[in-house]
Amino acid sequence: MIGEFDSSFEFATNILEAGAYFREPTSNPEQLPIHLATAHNVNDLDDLQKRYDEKGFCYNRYRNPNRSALNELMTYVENGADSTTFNSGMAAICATIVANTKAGDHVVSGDTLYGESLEVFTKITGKYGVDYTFVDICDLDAVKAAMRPNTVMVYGETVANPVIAVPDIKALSEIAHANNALLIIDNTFMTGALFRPLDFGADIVVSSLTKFANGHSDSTAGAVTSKDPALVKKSFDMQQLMGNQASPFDSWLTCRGLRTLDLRVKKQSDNACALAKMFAESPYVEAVYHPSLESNPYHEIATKQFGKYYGPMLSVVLPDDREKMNKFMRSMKLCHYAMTLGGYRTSMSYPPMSSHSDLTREERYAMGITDGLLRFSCGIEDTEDLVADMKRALEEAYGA
Amino acid sequence: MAHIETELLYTRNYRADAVNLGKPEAFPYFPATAFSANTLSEIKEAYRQGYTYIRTNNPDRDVLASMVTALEAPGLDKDTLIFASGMASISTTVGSILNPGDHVICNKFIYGETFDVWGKMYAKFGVEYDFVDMSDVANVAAAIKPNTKMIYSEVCANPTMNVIDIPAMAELAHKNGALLMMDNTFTTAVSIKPLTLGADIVISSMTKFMSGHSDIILGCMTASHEIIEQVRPMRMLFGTPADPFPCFQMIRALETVTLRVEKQMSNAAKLAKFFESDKHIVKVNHPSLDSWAGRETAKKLWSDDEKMSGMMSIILCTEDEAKIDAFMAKLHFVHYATTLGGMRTTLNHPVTSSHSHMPDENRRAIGITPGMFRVSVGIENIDDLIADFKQAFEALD
Repeated sequence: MIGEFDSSFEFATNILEAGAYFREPTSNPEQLPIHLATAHNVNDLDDLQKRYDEKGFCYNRYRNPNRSALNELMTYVENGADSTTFNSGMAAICATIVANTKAGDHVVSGDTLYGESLEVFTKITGKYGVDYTFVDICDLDAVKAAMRPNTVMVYGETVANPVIAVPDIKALSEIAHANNALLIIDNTFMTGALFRPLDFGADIVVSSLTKFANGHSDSTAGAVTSKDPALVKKSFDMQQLMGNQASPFDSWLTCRGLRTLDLRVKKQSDNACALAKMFAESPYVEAVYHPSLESNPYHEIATKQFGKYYGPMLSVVLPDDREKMNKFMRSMKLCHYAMTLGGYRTSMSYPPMSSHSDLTREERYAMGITDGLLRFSCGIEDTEDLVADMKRALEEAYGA
Repeated sequence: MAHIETELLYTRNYRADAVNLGKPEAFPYFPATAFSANTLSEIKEAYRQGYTYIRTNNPDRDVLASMVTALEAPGLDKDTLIFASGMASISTTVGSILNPGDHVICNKFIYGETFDVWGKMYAKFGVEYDFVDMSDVANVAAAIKPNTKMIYSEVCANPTMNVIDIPAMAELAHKNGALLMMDNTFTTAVSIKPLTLGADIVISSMTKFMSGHSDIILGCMTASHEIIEQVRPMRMLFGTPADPFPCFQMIRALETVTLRVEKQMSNAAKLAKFFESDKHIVKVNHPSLDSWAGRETAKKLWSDDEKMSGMMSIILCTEDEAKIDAFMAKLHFVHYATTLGGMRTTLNHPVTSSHSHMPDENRRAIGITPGMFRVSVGIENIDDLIADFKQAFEALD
């Protein structure tokens, strides 16, 4: 019986019972508490049935208050009807792909996805008999040509890595739906604050919340959101078997991070636009990939989909000179190399040695990933400080 | 090698050069999703032997893995991976090892969601499976096929506690080129180390006895380096590496695991004896009892009745729900919980929860009746514990 504390037992017993439950009402705290408990208790079988009936909390891996709060928040952020949240972005992606395919099915996917998303198709579902075709999903004719009668899924990213290519989501959804396939879009690089793929016809949106959504580089989580609760349920059911649900503490941290998403990611996008302009004007930079630039091939579709926020990610191509690139990296005061992205500080990564290190040089060059490519994830620093710092670093490394 | 109690307090394997730590008395919590670098050569070095991205590696996860290896595989050359849950350790390991066309023999007495890993997850991708009563090795031998790649069982099955002859099962598996994978959740390495008895892979839901505090969800998998390196890259793709915070909590929890689990196991053996002697109980499933069907196999696995498992199941003398409710309400501190393995003694009712979707007839066939309770024994004073049940049983009269 879960009642008042009764001190009539031995010390070894009492020490487990004293303070085991909150005695006073704890409703409506200004910030959500962290519910670490793996289980919520009941008094008898009627109480247990009541708990099931009112959809109360039972076992943590199944449902947890912090995870439910994050689900509600992500459902709003991505404008869906329901969400389920995972231990990581990869967990969300993997569970959703596995849940919606079976041996004999075929998938059409973007060819420049995050490396490990591609590997879900080649190493997991591929191994178990799900066929796949990788295409440039910005090329709608190529996508149409890749569709087969057994194609069940078209998969892509809102902004393709690392050349910041922008596919036409509405057109992709029409191609997918004409073939009774689902369109699944990874919205990690934009977030629902800048662009909501579900409003443009995507069936499921997946996100790594680890990046811009949380923004503080201190939690790992992923989300699946859809306007169709049945699709979310499919990912949720697979989550139970894969056991890759978001932990309560990381759910709590991510909720906390998301409160400032609107401020952060818009500022990050503005900083990316300002940096893109500076890089485009620099004599030392060979190419700049950011759709805010009018010369960028994706400028028109990006403006149509994103409005004035072109996103916080950009890439540049510098001269193929390791020594000068090292000097440039060391000269920057406001940007550092990080093995992640989306944090509040500007960071960079070098795809040839990180995300695309498994590819041969030829394969990389075919994807536009040259030895001079640097990718930036813009932070929320003062815009003038950031632009001036990078301009100075370029001059120090490549000038004179 | 030091005794395990000592080993657990000093095993702290991580990439020490990669984290500027000083000498803190407790291992710090590393929430950082990434480590930074200044130049391309530093980045290369980080990939070679440092920390990079949280899903790839994390100091808390590494320290915890080394503690579990010390627990599960003393003196053996094994390694451990830590997962977001026990289910993650099962489904990721299975998915990394099995191919379409492979066949699995799984104990028919097993946790419900592990059933679903075969039936709902891998079946649609062409992995075959058979559920077999593994209490007799001959049943398993008869089910072996040329494509059998894995034999899977829990050390003590949920909730009936069925045990299997691990050394004999390992021999059978290896003779046929298959792996023996064991779930050690109900027992933990404090009780039994399946790898030392011939099993190839041991997994646990650390959420339960290993944690003991009912505030962490985690899983672990210990096996040869070859298997670990096969599963490690797939864990990245399944997105199932554990978060650092629960790892940090679990490091803390494992520091008391021997004290807790030994007390839970000895309490359970004493409580089982009391239940057996009480008129309100018609059946007790615990490996320490001579009256229990699996007792002979249990004797092969354990030498001490008080070091077997903190879990058991009992069947009450009545199936009358009003009487059962009255019994539950009368308990002072023993209570119903939707988990197990915690420091407080908790009950679970399989017919209402884990086995609610199974027809009554099928349930009874595997020994699960409406009068059955699963008991997860805590670390309370044993006299208090027995007295609490004793006074509550009066409600069944």
